[in-house]
Amino acid sequence: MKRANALVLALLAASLPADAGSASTGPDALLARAIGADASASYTGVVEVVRFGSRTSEASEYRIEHRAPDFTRRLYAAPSSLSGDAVVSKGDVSFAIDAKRRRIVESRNDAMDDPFARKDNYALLRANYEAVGRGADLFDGRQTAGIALVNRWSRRTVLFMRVDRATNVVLDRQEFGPDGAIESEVRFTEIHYAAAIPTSDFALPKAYRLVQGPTFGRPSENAADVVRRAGFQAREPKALPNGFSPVEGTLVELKGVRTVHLLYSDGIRTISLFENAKASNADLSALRPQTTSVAGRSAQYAEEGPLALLTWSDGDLSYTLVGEIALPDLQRIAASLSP
Amino acid sequence: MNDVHPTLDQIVDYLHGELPAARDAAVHAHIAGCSDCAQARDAEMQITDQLRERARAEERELPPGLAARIRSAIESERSPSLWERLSAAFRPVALVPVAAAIALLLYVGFGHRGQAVASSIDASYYVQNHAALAATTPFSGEQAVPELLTSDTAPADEHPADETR
Repeated sequence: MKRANALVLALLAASLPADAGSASTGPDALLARAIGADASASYTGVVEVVRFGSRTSEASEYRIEHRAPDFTRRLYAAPSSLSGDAVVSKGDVSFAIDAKRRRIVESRNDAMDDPFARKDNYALLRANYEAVGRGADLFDGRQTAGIALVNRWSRRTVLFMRVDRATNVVLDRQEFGPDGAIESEVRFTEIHYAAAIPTSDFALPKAYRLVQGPTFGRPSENAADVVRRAGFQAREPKALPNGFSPVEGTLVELKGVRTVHLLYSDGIRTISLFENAKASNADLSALRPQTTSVAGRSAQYAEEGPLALLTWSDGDLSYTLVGEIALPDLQRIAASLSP
Repeated sequence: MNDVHPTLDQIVDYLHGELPAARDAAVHAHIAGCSDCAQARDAEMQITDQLRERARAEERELPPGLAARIRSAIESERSPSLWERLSAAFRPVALVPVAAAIALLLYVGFGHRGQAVASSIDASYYVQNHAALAATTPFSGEQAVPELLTSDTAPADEHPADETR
């Protein structure tokens, strides 16, 4: 998208209302400040995360210590299986401290360092969503401003957040599904802002063994390039839901199987398309899948929290779609991949 | 000492710990006082050791994914009827050598062809890769329960580094 869709984005941005982003106190300006708030604010507090699925939901609570711009420790209090565990992250590197197994899992995600992707995603968000002020509110004793992100295509609110007036940190964030039901909420309580948090607070326990976790490389190409380099006849979908554009493309090895991974986004919601030339479909058995169909072929569909997964094969290629969208949208994308 | 010499089969079973306890004790007592039977046992032990050594020398790792494929094939089998269950009870004697031959063929076949093809890839691989690439989206939804803290497996083995980007 970085290059190919730059023009499209420019045109979309030009279609924004004339006052968008111009007033420093308006919802657009507040949104921009909220996105960048963590880079300048250091704080401690308690965070509750709840993700609702149609079959299962999950929740956790952790104590957070964040030192601007990118040093964060999350110490889990719930669920009980995670009590005492922690995740320490600095930029693109994170350490999962697993108290039960007495180990630290190091992982890296180079995509976190990609300023172009962040910029593109923000441009998409602005093109596809209207930031609407939802008044002032007192949240956990702090003055907040409410912002709703309304999808320009469906006119539905997809995201609502309460932004701390003084620091621009998002204290409450709720995400909604296409039917208006809440899909997830992240609530921040007991927040205390600090000028500086000592580095020693982020120290890793020495008694634990360090093991290497997954490494996700930096995607450097656009979707079309990745498809060309796949080494098999990979395809790009001919249909995407309104507002979605290709954002990143990458080639990965999933259990030794060369796989094309394409990411599509509308600025908030994302869809991944995975393709490989082996008979290697996604194993959804742990997620209690349903059998459905894609262009007359049998397919498996499952949900994990707000994420939906659809996997099928057309005889030549195996495909898996993962995203925060409903099954009919996934099926339309899938059908558009038919040769 | 029991004066009745054990048969060669019984000595073999004795060496493999496959005799009932009473018979095992009797054979043990007999061999302790019978040089002929002790010699037969030693000869049998040597053969067993040689076989084991040879097997170890030729041992190869099962191709990745073979066990998963066998498991998935078993799981996907439909429930057998009563008649099938009854007839299956009489089948093992004939089927064990056949199954062994099939397994050997599969093993050797894959050994010659190199890397095996995984039949399915756990959904968590897709979810993790999706989350990693989507992390640059503003307000990208964070996992309530980080997978790296819930997985029992060695993460690097299960989720190998993505080297091709």
